Amino acid sequence: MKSDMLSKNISVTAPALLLAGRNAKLICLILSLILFSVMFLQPKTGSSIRLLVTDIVSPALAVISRPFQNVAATISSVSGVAELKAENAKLSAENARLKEWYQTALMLQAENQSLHKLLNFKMDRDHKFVTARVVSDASNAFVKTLLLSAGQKDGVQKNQAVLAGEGMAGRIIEVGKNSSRILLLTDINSRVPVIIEGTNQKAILVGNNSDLLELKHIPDDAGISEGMRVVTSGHGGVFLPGLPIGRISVGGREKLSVRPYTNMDRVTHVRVLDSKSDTNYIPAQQQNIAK
Amino acid sequence: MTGFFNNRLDWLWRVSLAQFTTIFLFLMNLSNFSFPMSGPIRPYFILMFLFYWSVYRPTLISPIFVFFLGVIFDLVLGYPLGLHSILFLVFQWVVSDQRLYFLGQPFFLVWIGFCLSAFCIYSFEWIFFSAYQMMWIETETLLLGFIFTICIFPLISLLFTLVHRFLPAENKAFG
Repeated sequence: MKSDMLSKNISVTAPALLLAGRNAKLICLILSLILFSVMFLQPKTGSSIRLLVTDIVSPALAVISRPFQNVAATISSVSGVAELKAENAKLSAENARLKEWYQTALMLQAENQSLHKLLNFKMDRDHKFVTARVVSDASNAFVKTLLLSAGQKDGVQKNQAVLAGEGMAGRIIEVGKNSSRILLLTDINSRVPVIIEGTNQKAILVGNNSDLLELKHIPDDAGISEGMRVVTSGHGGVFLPGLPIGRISVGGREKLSVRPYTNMDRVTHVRVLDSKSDTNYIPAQQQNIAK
Repeated sequence: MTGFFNNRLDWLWRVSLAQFTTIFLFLMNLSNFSFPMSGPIRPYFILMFLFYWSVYRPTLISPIFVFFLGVIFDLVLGYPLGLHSILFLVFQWVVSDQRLYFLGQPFFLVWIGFCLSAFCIYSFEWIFFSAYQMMWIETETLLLGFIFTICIFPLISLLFTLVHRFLPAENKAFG
């Protein structure tokens, strides 16, 4: 009778004991190691779980990040008051210059339209885009990604280019139902085919987890100088050509790098470009590479 | 009977306050602040609450809770899944093993203890990601993040001390 009660007691308390104290630590650690090993060997296994969790967590993150974004906006508007006078003078000068350019642009537009009519040119449609809020920022020394509050339901798809501020910020690498993840241009795994305006020199833009981007496959005599614009070349069929990225910056030992137009630290809203809205765009998988 | 429920409710809200603070700080590590350099120099809040509670109230944060924190952290931030569960569990394990030493010590020594253990985590992450990316990751921003984390620890400890005062005695369960 006594042994019966004892065994019953043990059977009731065993799971509780198993999940308490040192045993629980050990079990959780072993579970983590198994999880890590499986995901390391089969990275795609966890992608659906990752998307599901980000879909669930992203609304909470959006709520938490909102006050901080409002504070940042307030600070930036308050600090902006001091610079207002100088900025006003600068803008007045710029406005005068732009008025001259406006007249030139009107003339060129009329000329362009008449030439299009002559050539029966098929016009590009305007780019469609989805605007989304950044809810999570994983930009640290190791990874440079952002989590967006828009997903498949909003028309976001993998590999779409993402614009923020004046230029490109990165591309979509994961899409959930209500959230998606951007790989920033500054991430070490980012590779974008670009062209340097003014020289037509093609290159590959590589992130290195710092604020500046590296240019690869550039010949020494390419004639590149500081301040030249860098835009997407459209090669590979992933991004539309002509998306602005940044300007050439020449560092120590004449090392070429690109300073992006977008300040990656301060991105709060982004535009996800729908590549399919461009009639001249052909996705990579549809291109006959064998020919 | 009413007294029992009152006690139970009192116990629940006090423990929930501590858990809420912990979860809030955890979400702060995942959110977007949109301040300049907010990403790289963001304090590692998770290490702070893991350290503090492992020393002063080890029963408050169970290993299962830590495991799930690590999993969610990896899933949301896009790290290799399981990596931070391992790191946080080892961190909690090591710190709670040393808690008897830290208890009763002046705060300065506890702070030094936090600095050393946080340094180990930062160093491990740096070595791991450098090997993972197959290139040395620059240490400048990492160092800034580490310095910011250790500098802000006393403030967060102060917050936890206030929360700790509200917690029921450790041997008091459900009224």
